[in-house]
Amino acid sequence: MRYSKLPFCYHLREGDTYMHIPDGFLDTKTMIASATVSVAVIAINNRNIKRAFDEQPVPSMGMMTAFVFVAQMLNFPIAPGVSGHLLGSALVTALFGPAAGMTIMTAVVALQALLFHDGGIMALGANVLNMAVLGCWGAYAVQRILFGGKIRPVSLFASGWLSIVLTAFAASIELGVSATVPFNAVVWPMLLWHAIIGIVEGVITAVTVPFLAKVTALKPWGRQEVEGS
Amino acid sequence: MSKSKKLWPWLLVVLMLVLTPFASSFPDGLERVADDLGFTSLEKNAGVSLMPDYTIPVIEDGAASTIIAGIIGAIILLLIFWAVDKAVRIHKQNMR
Repeated sequence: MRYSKLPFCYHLREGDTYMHIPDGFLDTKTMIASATVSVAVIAINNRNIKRAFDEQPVPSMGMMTAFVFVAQMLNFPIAPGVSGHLLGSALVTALFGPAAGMTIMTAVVALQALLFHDGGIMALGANVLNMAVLGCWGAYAVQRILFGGKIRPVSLFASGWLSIVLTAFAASIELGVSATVPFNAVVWPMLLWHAIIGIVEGVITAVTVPFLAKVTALKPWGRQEVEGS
Repeated sequence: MSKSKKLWPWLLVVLMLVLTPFASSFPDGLERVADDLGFTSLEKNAGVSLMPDYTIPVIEDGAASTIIAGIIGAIILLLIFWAVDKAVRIHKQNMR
């Protein structure tokens, strides 16, 4: 373990693991099953993505992809010895809708696995399923149901919180099915930590989306106005 | 779209990039649970990685290494969506 030479970065250590599900945590059947589901959903999704490309400028999707990628590098401490980082599924879903949101999250997660060793390459299917598929569609469900589909800070907060908790729950199921650890043992600590991370995610989502709607030409998905901000 | 309207998200991205060396190095949610339940050791190294853990092996200084790794990642994603944008434009022209 080596520490950075910069005086203010003493806590940065090399060999630090930023982590999605790495290789070795899941067994083969779980990896194949989750990869199959991910590929199937993305294949169906890509037929419906035309509306997103018609209504939203694609370069700004690239901009928000870079935004999410950099934001995921920023781990914040949530308790002594535990940290979390932004997921971003709810954020991009609120701006671009679930179809384009899934594409954005898949691009981020795939790049992290291929280049940065964050999340396993074999476990990529599971990570895409958790973060892109479930994260975006879970967030979209909340944003559509609350306030009759109007995007407000409260629904943004709720969708951000749910996307994190749903992702953690799915990861627990995958670990349980793989017989890595008993499901009953892993699910409660996972939900506890991620319920706390989800609060931060929810606040960031609820602040960022109205802010971006105000200072940029980006409009929330579905042409709904952001109210109460 | 006026220039200032494009500027804001980039300012946020640059701000976050500058902050990345200060990111918490505590284990994240999943890793902490893995530590507590004792299955961290199952993690396998899947061969070679170009920039493991958001560092560039050549650059000694941790902070600079992390920031440059972040810039490289962001540029790659921008290039991907730049290509998608080009493809969408060509498609729309052909549809006309």
